[in-house]
Amino acid sequence: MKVSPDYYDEIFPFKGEWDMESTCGLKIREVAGKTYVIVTELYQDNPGTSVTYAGRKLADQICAAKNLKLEDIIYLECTPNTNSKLSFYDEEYFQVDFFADMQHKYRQLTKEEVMKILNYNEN
Amino acid sequence: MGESEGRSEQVIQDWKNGCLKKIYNYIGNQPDIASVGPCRRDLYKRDLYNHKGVQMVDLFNASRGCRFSCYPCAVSYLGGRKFRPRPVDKVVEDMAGIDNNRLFIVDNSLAQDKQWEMDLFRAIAPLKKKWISHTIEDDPEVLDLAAKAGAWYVYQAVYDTSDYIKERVKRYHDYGIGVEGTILFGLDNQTEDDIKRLIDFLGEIDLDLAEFTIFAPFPHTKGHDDLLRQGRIFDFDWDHYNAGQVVYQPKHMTPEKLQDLYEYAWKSFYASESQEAKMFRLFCNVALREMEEGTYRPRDRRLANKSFGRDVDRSKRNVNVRTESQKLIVKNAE
Ligand code: SF4
Repeated sequence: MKVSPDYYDEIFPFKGEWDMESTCGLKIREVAGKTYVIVTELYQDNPGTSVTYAGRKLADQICAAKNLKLEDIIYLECTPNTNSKLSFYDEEYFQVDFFADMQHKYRQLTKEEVMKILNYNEN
Repeated sequence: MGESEGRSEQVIQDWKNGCLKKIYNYIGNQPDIASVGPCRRDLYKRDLYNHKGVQMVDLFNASRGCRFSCYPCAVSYLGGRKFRPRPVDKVVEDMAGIDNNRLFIVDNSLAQDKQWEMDLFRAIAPLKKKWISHTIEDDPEVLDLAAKAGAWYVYQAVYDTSDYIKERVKRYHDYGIGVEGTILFGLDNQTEDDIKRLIDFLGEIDLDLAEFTIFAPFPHTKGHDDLLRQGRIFDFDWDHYNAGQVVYQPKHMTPEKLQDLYEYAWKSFYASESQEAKMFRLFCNVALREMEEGTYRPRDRRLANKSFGRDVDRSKRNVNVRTESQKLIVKNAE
């Protein structure tokens, strides 16, 4: 269940639940004037808390490290494709709204939306 | 929090000095596995772990951690994503000191390091213990060594109706190892028909026991994260996360239907022979092997009317028909 490095530009170490040493993949993209922060779950290569469970705690640590404001970013969680035979490990992207209630906190992105963000070219 | 070897001394010292901290956090910081020593089994009140004079198994750890990361399982998070086998000589020393011939090796999966697994089985064989465990490597040499080392029965996941599962169960039986099937219901790839087919299949594969569970989205599993993001968890009361209650919206059926199928599975598997009778059959198998090896201990007559410290209601006698070998065991036991 190795995650392809195509999913991230850097490995971001963070403190997870109970300060457990954890890591995730991180990509930051500027798309049409908006800052997209994309965190990718690394499964076996993450010794600690998952990106979803860490949630806001991880987002705050990224914002502090990258000098961003949580209100100004669009935060995406990615569960990458790991070429597993099980459909549970297919690729998915979710936009997380930390200010919404539980019912509206996550929204799954369509393939088109994802492509638009990842393939955006400034020029 | 975390594993306590080498750490509890500090906690006790702090308590003695009146400066106990609220949290001692060692999670993710596991001690050297070689430092795991024998437990203080002399502290057990053994009479309370006894059913009608028969001593219950002692729990034993030969390794910790798990290098796999199965979808519904939090073990690799809690115990670390690295398999940490104890040195074999330490295991033997620890096991030899247990005043009980029947153990449950509670390691998450022994099938993680074949060489260590084989070394372990060779080393513990002379102790003549009989033991239960989770999965053993599916390899004739390993199964043979496990049987010689006293494998009594194993827990084996039955996740589909394939020939592979059927043959896997048969291979254990070929080596004289019993099988308790563990069957998980409610994953997203299961429809109502799949679950019914799986229940029917259990009748074809000659399991010795079966244990059914409903998928519980425990924190720190991918299952939990997926359902959380999809807004499908409707019950966050941890008391209900007992793997027998539905706490989320299944993909292909209502929560009520899944609950019904779970209840039906228990009833149907044990319809022709009760769980107690099937367990008794397994007990007879192990007792016969012990008699052959001269390690059998008759039950403690002092506790014949006690079960886990409570009085036994003798008015509810088990009237199952017993085979000749079972009668022999009962006779020897009494
Ligand atoms: S189910 Fe067993 S093998 Fe899988 S992660 Fe959990 S302990 Fe490891």
